[in-house]
Amino acid sequence: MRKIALTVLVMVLVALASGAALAQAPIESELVLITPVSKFIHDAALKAFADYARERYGVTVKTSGLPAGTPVAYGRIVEWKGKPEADIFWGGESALFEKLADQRLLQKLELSRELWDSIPPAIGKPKPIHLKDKDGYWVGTALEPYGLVYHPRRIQRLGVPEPKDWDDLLNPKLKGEVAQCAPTRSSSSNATYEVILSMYGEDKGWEWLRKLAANTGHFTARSRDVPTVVAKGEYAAGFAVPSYMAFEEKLAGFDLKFVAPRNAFVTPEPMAILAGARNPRAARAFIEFLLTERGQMVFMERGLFPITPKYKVQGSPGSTAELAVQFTGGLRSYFDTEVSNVYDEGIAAKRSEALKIRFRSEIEAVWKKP
Amino acid sequence: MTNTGGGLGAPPRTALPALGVAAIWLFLLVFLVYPLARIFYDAVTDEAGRLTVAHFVEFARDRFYQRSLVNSLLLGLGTVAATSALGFAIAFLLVRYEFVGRNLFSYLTLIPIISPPLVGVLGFTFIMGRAGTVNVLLMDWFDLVRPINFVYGVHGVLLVETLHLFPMITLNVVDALAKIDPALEEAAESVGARGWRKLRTITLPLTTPGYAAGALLVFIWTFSDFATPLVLGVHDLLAAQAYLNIVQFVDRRLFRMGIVISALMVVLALGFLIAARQYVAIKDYSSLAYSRVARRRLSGLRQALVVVFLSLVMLASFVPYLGVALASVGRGWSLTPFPVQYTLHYFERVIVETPKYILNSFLYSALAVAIGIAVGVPIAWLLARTRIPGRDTLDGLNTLILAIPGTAIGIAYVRAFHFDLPGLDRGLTSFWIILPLVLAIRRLPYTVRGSYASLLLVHRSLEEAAASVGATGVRSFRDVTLPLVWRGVLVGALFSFMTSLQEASAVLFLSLGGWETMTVGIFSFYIAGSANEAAALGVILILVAALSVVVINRVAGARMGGMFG
Amino acid sequence: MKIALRDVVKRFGAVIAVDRATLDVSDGELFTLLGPSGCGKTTLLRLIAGFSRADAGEIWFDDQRVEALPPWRRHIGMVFQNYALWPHMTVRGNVTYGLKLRKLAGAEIERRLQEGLRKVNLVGLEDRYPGQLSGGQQQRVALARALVLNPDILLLDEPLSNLDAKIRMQVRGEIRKLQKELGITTIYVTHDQEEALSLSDRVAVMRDGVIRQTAPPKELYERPATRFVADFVGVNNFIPGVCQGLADGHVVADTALGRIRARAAAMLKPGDRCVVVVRPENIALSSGSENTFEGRVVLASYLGNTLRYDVETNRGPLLKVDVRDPWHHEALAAGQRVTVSFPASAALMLVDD
Ligand SMILES: Nc1ncnc2c1ncn2[C@@H]1O[C@H](COP(=O)(O)OP(=O)(O)O)[C@@H](O)[C@H]1O
Ligand SMILES: [Mg+2]
Repeated sequence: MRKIALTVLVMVLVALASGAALAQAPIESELVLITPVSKFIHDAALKAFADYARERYGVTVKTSGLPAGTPVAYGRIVEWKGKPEADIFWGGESALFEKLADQRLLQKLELSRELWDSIPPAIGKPKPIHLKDKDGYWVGTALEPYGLVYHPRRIQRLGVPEPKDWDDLLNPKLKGEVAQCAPTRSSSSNATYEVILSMYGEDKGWEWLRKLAANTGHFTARSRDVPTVVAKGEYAAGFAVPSYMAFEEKLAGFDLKFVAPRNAFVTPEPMAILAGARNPRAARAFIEFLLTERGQMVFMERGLFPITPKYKVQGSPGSTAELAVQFTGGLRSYFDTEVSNVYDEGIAAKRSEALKIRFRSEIEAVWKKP
Repeated sequence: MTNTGGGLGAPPRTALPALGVAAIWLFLLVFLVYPLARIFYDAVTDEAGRLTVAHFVEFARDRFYQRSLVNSLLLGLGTVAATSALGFAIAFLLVRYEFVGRNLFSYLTLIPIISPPLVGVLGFTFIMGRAGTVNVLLMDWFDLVRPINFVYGVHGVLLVETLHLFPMITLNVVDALAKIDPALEEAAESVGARGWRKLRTITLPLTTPGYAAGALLVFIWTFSDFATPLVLGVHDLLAAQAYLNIVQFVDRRLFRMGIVISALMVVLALGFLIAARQYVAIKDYSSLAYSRVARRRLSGLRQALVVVFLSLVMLASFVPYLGVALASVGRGWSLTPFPVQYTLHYFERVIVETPKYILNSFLYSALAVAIGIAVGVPIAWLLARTRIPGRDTLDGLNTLILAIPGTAIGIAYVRAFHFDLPGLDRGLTSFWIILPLVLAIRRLPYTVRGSYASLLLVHRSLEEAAASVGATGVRSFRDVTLPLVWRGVLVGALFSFMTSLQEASAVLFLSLGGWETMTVGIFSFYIAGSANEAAALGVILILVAALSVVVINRVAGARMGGMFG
Repeated sequence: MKIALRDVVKRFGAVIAVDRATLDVSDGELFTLLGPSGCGKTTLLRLIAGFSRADAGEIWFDDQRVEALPPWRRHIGMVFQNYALWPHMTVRGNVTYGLKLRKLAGAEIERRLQEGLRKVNLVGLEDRYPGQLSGGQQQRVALARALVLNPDILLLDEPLSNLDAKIRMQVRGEIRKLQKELGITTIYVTHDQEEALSLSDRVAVMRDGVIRQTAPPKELYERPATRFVADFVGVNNFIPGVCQGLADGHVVADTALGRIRARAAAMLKPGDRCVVVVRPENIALSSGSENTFEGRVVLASYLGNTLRYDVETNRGPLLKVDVRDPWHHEALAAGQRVTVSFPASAALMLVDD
């Protein structure tokens, strides 16, 4: 009788233990991102993570990314009302992440202390660029300048010197040759408009932007189209292009050049876990992975810069990492240099509505294809 | 007494027919009427749910929107004019003249229709863009500094839409011309009319009904296409504004404005639909000719001119295909007439890495067709065989679908099926079945029309004969009618299948991770900056569509004209 | 205006639709082309109208050869078989279309419209669409449309075939009257022998593209030239045989019925195969004529103004015999034996084609 009781006990214990083990499977086997960060980056990141998860946790994670422009992604998250179809929101302005956190649509990251501390709170002068949220709702993943791109052969044919600074885009010979995306539709464009306004002041800034519009031959529907049309040679130069998008075109075999001029906006590509996410543990594992050297490598090989001073873009001669360094003007880490930044998050947030309205009335409504 | 036709004409032996009719109505109410009602409701309420006309006032006051409205109407009419001129000329040549390659050309005219959304215009920019083949050659030969702008702008949209849509006019006019009794034209000759005069005063007016159906379709298509203008940098159009405003969810005011514009587009399209129907209704000339006007053999020189003209048109409308094909295998193609490096990498990527797009497309389209048949064939039967109350409404609803812009129905579904379903804490928008449902609704008219047309051909007496030997309505339908009309049903189904594969606008808003169709894949590759992958997927889609056209032709004998209008 | 055709030929591939047609239509004449469906009537009419070109032969309008002229230069007015009214135009639009093309003044157009409509009794229907008219009215609109241009020649292709019997009789009379009033040279196509005989000045009977006989109605009726023509103008008794030559001022033929005396309508030599034709109304239920036979009644059918007996002769062949005035005739029962006879003058001996 005792024997039987013992057996039962053992069995119950085993069952409990295995139940607990099940409940504590390290991470879920699915992960969905919603992100404006292009496929080029997010696919690579997901793929690297899937490999990592298999090695580290022995879990095969089915990953997928929902590509969506920043506003769309934001809008969908709001529409989901806490029952999200994705686990992670990645990319866009950090201000949006704060807005989401205010609406309780994000959950705290709760990363390990060591990992969290490895990321400096901010870089840049005179205005700081925050690299992580003081309340712990989001964290930066990589640094990425929004610069300008040009097609060297087209530029040469037009008899224009290769652009180095923002003002070079106003060259009258570039009339109709600039492509940009409306700041109402693109966060990179919006940020760069903000940079121009901060640099030149409100009135001069708008005058500058109107001149740029006069040189603009094409307002693309989305920011991603800007490097595409320039790479192909449809237009000679593009405004407000994230470095990696330009680099992606370069890797695709196009002859395209990138410059991050003075005060170019640098984004930390924030990442957050959505409140109510179905796969919170996989989401956290993904973020932790991205902040490791292996994770950062994904970015560094694709024209982005590390989010921590611990790593530098580096590789064997001829590697894509080295190609990226060359492509972005020799920079290996934003922590090696003084980052000049005039973009003020507070002002930008306050001005964002007015900026859009003014763009609509002063540029979009009157713009005529040259 | 025998049950002669089912429907309400005879006392139903069981409740089954009545249940079936109820089910059809329920389907239409839930998946068509309700979503549309929902966007109209959205358009006239504010965030708090109060009734307001403020959105329309805002629309009417905004100069940019005013311009968009005017531009949309002008572009629509312009495209109708351009496709009419081209479509008519081609139809006329094909029907009335004999020349070398006439048969080949009549096949080729179908091809432009199968160009999928987005890819066609992308292909166009590869060849005709500022850095496209043509400009590169011009720059090389004439040392041009600035390329010529063939496509960016409204003129480009007009060009692309015209070359894409003229076959809709051609198909319908070919059909209409074939039905004209030659004596009507001879009568005109006998009293002295000839040449242009005869064409303008006799022949053209006689093709009106068929032509009007085609023209309406062209108008609505152009009116609701947003992909083409956006790629070509034209934003001041209603469809583009609706799309752009809706996809940026952040600004709720703009988002609602997108819905308002969608609702407005539905109203306008409806207006044109009703006008066109009125116009056609009073002009039904179908005189079923006993004979056809004999094809005139052209003189050598004229033949050459016709062949050159048609070849040029075909060449122009094949530009997108050429561009897409080159882009799908060309690496880093920039400022050279043709790519310098070739690769199969893009195909590998779309085939190996994203077979789910292809699978999803086939799954949803097949399901949509199945739903379409399940609902559409009975509707066709009700229309063709019964005097059931509400029959006209049924007919009207079915035609209405043709007029609804895809984006509008897409956003209508998003708005309408967002609420949590009872028992599940998710809405219908969280289940992929919503995609085949929206496709089924979108393509319902094709199935209904295909089946309706063949039902009209099957004489009622055949069914009556079945009834006389004791078959009930449902049974006689299954045993007698269906075997006779399957061909029409099949053509409608294939056509729905092909166009479902091509559908982008309605599914774009509804697509979620893992549910992407090929067209959504094309969009997301394009959005992600991978125009080459988009092109590769486009090539696959074009091949599938071309194959369906061949099959449809085999089955239907090239009579797709009747599908429209 | 006179019309003359000389050896006109029209082929469609292997089909010879019109084979060496030769005919003369005199000024003001109503000339009818009569023949079964598919014999080439429409084709011939269209050659005259100019809608198609002859492969060979000449077509003359008075002193002018017109083969090279397009329809609109031939001053013809044509009424098509199914009227070919333009459905998108009102009666006014249809009738005045040709006038407008001639750039006449508005008042003149209106005057001619009213005149034209008066001629065909359609005044007041100017604003109707063809779809809103009855078949007879449509037919008159077609006629008015053809006439307002004051054509030299009127061409009518089976203008009555789509009308029901009663209206057909009425319109037939109107057409004849109008044609005589206007004195317009008219070619009338029909497959209905009664119609042809009743309104024509002369009739040409066609078969397989060939004009078999051209004659005034009476002559056609009484002296058909061939078996086919006879058949087509309503003769019902055909007795094949072999020509034996002349006897007593008649030709004699040996037939299944026996020896028959008849009139010769064609050049026949003794020994030629021939056919003797007799109209049922020329056969009497009595003896006394040159050709008398015995038989018995197998069927009696009442046709209103006549009673027709099918009489089986003793030798076998069936004869149809009409009794003109059935009111005053006691019908014979089937099986009853009878004697039938017909005079040699009422029997025609024809070439058997
Ligand atoms: N356009 C045509 N092509 C080929 N054959 C034709 C054409 N028109 C008429 N035919 C043929 O010519 C013959 C005469 O036709 P038609 O003149 O219409 O006869 P009818 O008017 O006496 O009925 C017919 O065998 C007909 O099939
Ligand atoms: Mg005829």
